[in-house]
Amino acid sequence: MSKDSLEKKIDPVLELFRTDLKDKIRRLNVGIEAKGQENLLGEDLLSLLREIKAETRLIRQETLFQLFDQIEILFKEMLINHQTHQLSENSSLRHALNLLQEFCELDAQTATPWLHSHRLQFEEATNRLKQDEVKPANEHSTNPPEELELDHGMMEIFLTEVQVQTAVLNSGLIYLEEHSESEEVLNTLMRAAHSIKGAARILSLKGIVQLAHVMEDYFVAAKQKKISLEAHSVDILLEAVDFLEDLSKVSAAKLVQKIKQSDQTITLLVKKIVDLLKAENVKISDGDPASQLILEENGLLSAKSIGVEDLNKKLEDVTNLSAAERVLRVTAENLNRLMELAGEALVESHWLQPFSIELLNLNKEQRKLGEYLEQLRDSLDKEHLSEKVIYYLDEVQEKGKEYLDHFSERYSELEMFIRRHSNLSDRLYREVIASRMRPFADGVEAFPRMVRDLAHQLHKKVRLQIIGRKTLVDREILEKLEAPLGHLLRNSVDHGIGLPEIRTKLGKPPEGLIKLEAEHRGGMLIISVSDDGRGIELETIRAVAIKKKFVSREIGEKLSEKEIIDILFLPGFTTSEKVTEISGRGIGLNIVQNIILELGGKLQVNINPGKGMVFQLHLPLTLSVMRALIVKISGEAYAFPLARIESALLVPKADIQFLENQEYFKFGRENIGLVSAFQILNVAPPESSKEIYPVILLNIQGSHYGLVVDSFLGEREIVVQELDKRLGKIPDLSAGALMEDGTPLLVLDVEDLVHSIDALLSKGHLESIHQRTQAIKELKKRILVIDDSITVREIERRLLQNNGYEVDVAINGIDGWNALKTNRYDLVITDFDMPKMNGLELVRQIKNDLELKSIPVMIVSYKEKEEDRLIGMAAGANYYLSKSRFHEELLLNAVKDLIGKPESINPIIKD
Amino acid sequence: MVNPSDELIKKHGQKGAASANKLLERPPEEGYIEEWTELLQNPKIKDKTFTEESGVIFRLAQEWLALPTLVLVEVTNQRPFHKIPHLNYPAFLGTVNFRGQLWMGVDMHRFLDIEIEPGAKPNGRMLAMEQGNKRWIFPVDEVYGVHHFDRQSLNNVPITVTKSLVNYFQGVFSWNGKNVAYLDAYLLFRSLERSVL
Repeated sequence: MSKDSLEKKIDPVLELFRTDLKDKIRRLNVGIEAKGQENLLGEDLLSLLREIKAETRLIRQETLFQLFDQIEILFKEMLINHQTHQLSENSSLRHALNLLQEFCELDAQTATPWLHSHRLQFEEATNRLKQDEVKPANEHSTNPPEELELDHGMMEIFLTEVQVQTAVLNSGLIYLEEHSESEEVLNTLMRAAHSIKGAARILSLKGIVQLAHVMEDYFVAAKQKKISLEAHSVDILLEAVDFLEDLSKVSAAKLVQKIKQSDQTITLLVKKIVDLLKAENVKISDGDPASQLILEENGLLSAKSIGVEDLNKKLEDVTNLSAAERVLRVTAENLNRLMELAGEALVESHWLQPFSIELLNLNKEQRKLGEYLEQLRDSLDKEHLSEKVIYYLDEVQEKGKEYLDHFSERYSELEMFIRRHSNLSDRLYREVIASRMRPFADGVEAFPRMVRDLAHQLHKKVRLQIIGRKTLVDREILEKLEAPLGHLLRNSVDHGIGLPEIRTKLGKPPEGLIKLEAEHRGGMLIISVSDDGRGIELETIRAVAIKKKFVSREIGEKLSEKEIIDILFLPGFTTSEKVTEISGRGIGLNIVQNIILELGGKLQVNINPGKGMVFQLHLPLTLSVMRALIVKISGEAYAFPLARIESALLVPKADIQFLENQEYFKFGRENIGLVSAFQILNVAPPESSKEIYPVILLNIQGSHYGLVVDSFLGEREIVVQELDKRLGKIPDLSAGALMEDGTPLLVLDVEDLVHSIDALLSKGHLESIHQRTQAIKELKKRILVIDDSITVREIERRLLQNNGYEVDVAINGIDGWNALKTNRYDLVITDFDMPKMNGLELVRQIKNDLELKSIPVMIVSYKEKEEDRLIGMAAGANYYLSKSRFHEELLLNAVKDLIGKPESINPIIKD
Repeated sequence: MVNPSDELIKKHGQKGAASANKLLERPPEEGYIEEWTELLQNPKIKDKTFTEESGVIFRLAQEWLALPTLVLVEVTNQRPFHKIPHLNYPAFLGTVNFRGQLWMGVDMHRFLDIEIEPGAKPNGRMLAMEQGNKRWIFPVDEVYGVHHFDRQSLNNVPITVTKSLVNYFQGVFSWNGKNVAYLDAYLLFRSLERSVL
């Protein structure tokens, strides 16, 4: 990345979010002030909040997300208790909104750091809201804890049960709405409601028992065809499911309180469902409606077992039907440990094979001994042998043979064991790796509901079809895909699928179809989101891009199809005239693409104007296993991720030419500059020079580099593991891994490497790859300037450079510290207040370091009090300059006092 | 509770029960009660002067040292280290495979400034240690094993010991006629964190 983009610091995505947020906060405020018309307005505000919340998640502002999450909870609480008119008097809410308002009004440049530095304030605001949430309950509860002093463990079980069953209810109800009524699905629904009832009964949660009971009644009635499911009734049932789902998300400790608070809601829900039943003259049962039916149905099932296959097929269509697979919670840490141990077991098992070969060699030697004995016997003068000698000779040969036989038996046992053992460890390893995978269905459970609600809201008819539910996806990838997939689906519903009337006119079925598909193909995970909507005309994109000044007219008119599609992914681009709550802000696609790239994948779009649009995500199957090219650099193993290199070449020495002291070779028509890897990595050069250079070709944003390594070790699948966190980010490295023989190897960070190459080339430090430079360079004194303000940094850098010093800059204490560890400096000039590691800590670290403590340190700070100066000097600084008194002459004189003139007196011999 | 004699009655009938009763309910010997009262009244005074310490004894060149057993994870065989580019602290060895995990290694000879004897034959062992999630592994020349000793027997570090070492010792105890320097794990970890990383 170039310096410029680092220093601008304006995050375009955050900017868009802020502009958007400003308007939404205004609307929230209006809504809160307009007391009275609570119900209508309340729902609107709630969806507004949900929208913002989703965005914060998308732009990955966890703190903001937490805050909005809490505001949403507060709103819901108020809505349920019909207290929305009190919102305007809630000081915690006011406080939170003011903070957000402030955030929206900042300058573009300061937004990111402000957000960073106000983290605590946001957290505090979140906590205040949290406390508010608890309060009313304490006031209301007449009869505190002892009434419902329930077993904690039982409540946990209840909550899990409700969680599992609500997922079943959700998908079942949506299935029913989309398809004709199906008995099997109704059975599942019945069972789900029944299970919730059972769990609630154990805890004597009367309200929940009642609610589950009437739901069960309803499903039984539907199954007996006494009642027919309509959109309206599904809405009510979903409302009940929502309530239960919400309930299942509270902690066990708060469950009782929550149920008490929701007393009214429960009664209301029960009444609504009872009304539905009454309308059809269905009697409410007293007993256990489902259990009898389940018995009946079991009999029925066995009777018509021919239909079983058919049934199974249908069942598969409903997610998680019987929660077939039990899922356990295991921490990621645990899983990683398991993987490492399984890997180690595999490595250990490899030790056995060479060992057995060694034994075999030993055996061969022993056989030779037998042969020698035989020869010895032959060469003896038989006539003169005493009986004793012959006896012992026979014995020796006899025993020798016996032992060899024994050995052979043992040896074949060992062979068998080796085979079993390596087979076992291999399977163990694969199984552990596989345990990182989850079925695709686990990550997309929420989408059918989301699509349904959205479609209703937009008066559209949309069906979401999920294909490949069982496709295995890495847990980590699955988690990270939720936001981008959600976004693509929202996009499709909002922009892709048209209103039923319009669709009919175009000769399409009124109901739109969105397909979400996951499959493994060619070692990749392919996920596609396709719709049969209107797609986008390329010309529309072109026109909008020109109109909104994303490209100039001349360039815009020449853009190819592919380039036009690329425009879709630019931040801020949208073809939507109107920004809705659902989509159209233009932030989304850009972020979707970034997330996919981050996961090491890519995103493709196919537009079929008038017929639909397909987004295809190509992702690695797992993040923990990577195909890599293993090479040797400075005698040690390193890995290049295969996906990140262009190719690997063997270049004969004869093909290498010199140009301005730089080595290069011709590849096709291009001259490719060569750099040796050991130099970039700052490790020892290889021992021998070769006639043929193994070269890795890197291509980053169009520029090619050839990196010379010692040798290629081959292509392999490696299981990556994080390097010790204490090391921080090491330049040019991304992770570690183990070779089959258990020796460590390091995975290179190709992007970083290219930066390092760039830096090396531009500094003119590039050494010949043949030999180390022996030239004596007259080195200038080097100064490290550390300041988080770019202005200060630049002023100081220019000033010192103009006066002949060599200057490096660092943007904070940590950065400075890293620079100090890797380079030699004659002087450090640092700021006092900096993020991450402040100047004081840095000075202390320098002065505590054996190698570095002799480097003089100057502090330049806007803290000008005498006591600040004393603190700085006490920490070990050699000079303290306050920024208010800063002027060029003063700084230069101080530098000269500390390290003298720019030229080093003793030239340093570089080796 | 079941009276033991009841049980015996069931088992052995009336006659056996009678003799059992006789046995169990016999009067205590003279002085028995007094003796036990005395004993229970004054709980045994523990020898407070003895505080047990336990350290794993190992050798670096000519120096014998002991690491508190609490921080020891495992004594393991030597394996190859992989250098980490850009981290050039001289005592940092790079990363090594320990139980399938990449641990960071340190050259303790260098770190503690102990001169390596020419022609020494190390037996290829490494010590893995951990304290508060911080992990290090380092090669040693020989490992004796775990030794228990009384904290009181720790002497001050004699002045003859290399100066740079002093910072990391709690004291010296004698074992098999040798002086063993007992390391202060806390100081050692802190200093490793600070200077190596």
